[in-house]
Amino acid sequence: MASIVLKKSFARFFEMIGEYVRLIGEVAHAAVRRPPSWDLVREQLYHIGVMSVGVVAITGFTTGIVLAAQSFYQLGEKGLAGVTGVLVAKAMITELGPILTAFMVTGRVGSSMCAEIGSMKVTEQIDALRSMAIHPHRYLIAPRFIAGSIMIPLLTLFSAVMGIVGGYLISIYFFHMSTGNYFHPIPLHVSVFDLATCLIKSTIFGVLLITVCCYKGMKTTGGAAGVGKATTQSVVTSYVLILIFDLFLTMGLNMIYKQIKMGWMNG
Amino acid sequence: MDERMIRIRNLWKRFNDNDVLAGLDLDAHDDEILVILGRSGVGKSVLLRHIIGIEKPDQGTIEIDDVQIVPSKKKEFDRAMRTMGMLFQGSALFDSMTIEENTAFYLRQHGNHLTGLRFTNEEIREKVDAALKKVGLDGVQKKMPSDLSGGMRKRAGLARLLVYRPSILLYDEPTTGLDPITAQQISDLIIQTQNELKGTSIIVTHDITSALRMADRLALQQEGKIAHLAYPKQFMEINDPTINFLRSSLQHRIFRKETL
Repeated sequence: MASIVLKKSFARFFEMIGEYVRLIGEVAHAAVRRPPSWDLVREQLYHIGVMSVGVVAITGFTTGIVLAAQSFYQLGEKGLAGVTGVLVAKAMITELGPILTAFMVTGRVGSSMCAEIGSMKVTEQIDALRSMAIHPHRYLIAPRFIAGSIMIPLLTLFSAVMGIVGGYLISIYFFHMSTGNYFHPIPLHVSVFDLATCLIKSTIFGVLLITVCCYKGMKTTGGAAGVGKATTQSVVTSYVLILIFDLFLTMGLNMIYKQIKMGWMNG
Repeated sequence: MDERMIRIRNLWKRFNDNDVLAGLDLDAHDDEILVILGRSGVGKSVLLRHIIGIEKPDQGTIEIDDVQIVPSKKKEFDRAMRTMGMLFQGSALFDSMTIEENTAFYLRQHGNHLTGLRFTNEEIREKVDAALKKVGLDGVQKKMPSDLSGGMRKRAGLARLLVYRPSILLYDEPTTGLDPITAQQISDLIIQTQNELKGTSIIVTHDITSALRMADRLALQQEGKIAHLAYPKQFMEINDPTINFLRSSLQHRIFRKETL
């Protein structure tokens, strides 16, 4: 009995992955081959990007402050307070910026996307689109996919900048560090690779959270309770996948970077 | 051209080990209203969803005007879809749009489905106003679907179809949940729409009074198949437990108390 349940669960899991991968394929195809109207994309650019600026700014700014304060308290006694600027910049650009922005956008935008699409699903509005020969992937998901792929990397860069600014302000006005001490080491230690890592991670996280939330919305069943359940699942799944992908991206990108560097040195 | 408009052959669909459609055959003619009756859960709505392409059958074919649309290539399917329209049980109006935007939606997305030409904003507004006037909803253009009653939402859903004049109209429980007067108004609007568009209308309903009012032919769906299909008078004379029940419910009005 238990093995049958396990088998069914595995089958359902792989079916879900298949459906999700197919959705990404269809949406990417629709976005490239038959792009949705500019009006729909513009609406999403505003909704995902402009409307998230405030929350992303606060998150980045406060994280930068906390990072700088921790660095002073933990490293100051060991005479390493001078690395504060680099530590904040590196952490915000390569790790905290992409992760926190993705989390914030998931909470603010992803959940509402899932709820909106989910309630359209349970009230037959998605079926109504299909009955009018309009593919919901192209009409509903492709504009969000395009807008998310553009805006989430931009929001991440903005968040990183806000973090560096936050760290700078507390270092200068609270810990009495000089501007030069804070900023001078940053260009020496933050490389193009770090910026590339930031952009690659944020783009992948963006695609991930938009498609997971839209997929969960499209699979919603069971009325208002179903919409609530799907929304919770979409946020939790997005968070977990973002963390798992972050692990593999951090390892993978650093390995690739090391290989390239060694190649240059040997060449 | 063969007079038959929609031809369904050997349609099968299984949900959770249950054959909802089990080799269903059905022909719906041009310029007729075909009403499908049946108990809850026999797959009447599932049948409509197959015709409009929302569901894909496990087996079987659907032809429209002798062109196979299920299974078929996407292009042919999309072309056929643009000639169809469906009124959903809950109206399925887009709740983020006004009634005007809902009604204009198809025209803005596809333009004229026959010529492929785009409409100007002025043309769209004229068509939308005319469609809303036809269903008795003049003056609600700027309202949201949530501001309307159930009957008004059904009429707005009908206006959304009227505006692009599909040749095949599918109605899923159009009078369910409405009071008898509103149900009669919706039935009359469906007849009026049919008289104007002269296409094929397929209606799925439980409401025998409305069914008899609207139908050119009546069908009874049972056990995944069309069990009976006939003109209304002949249909009501068929000896079948479900039809016998429908007949007796029409003949004997049951009152809880004989006198006040």
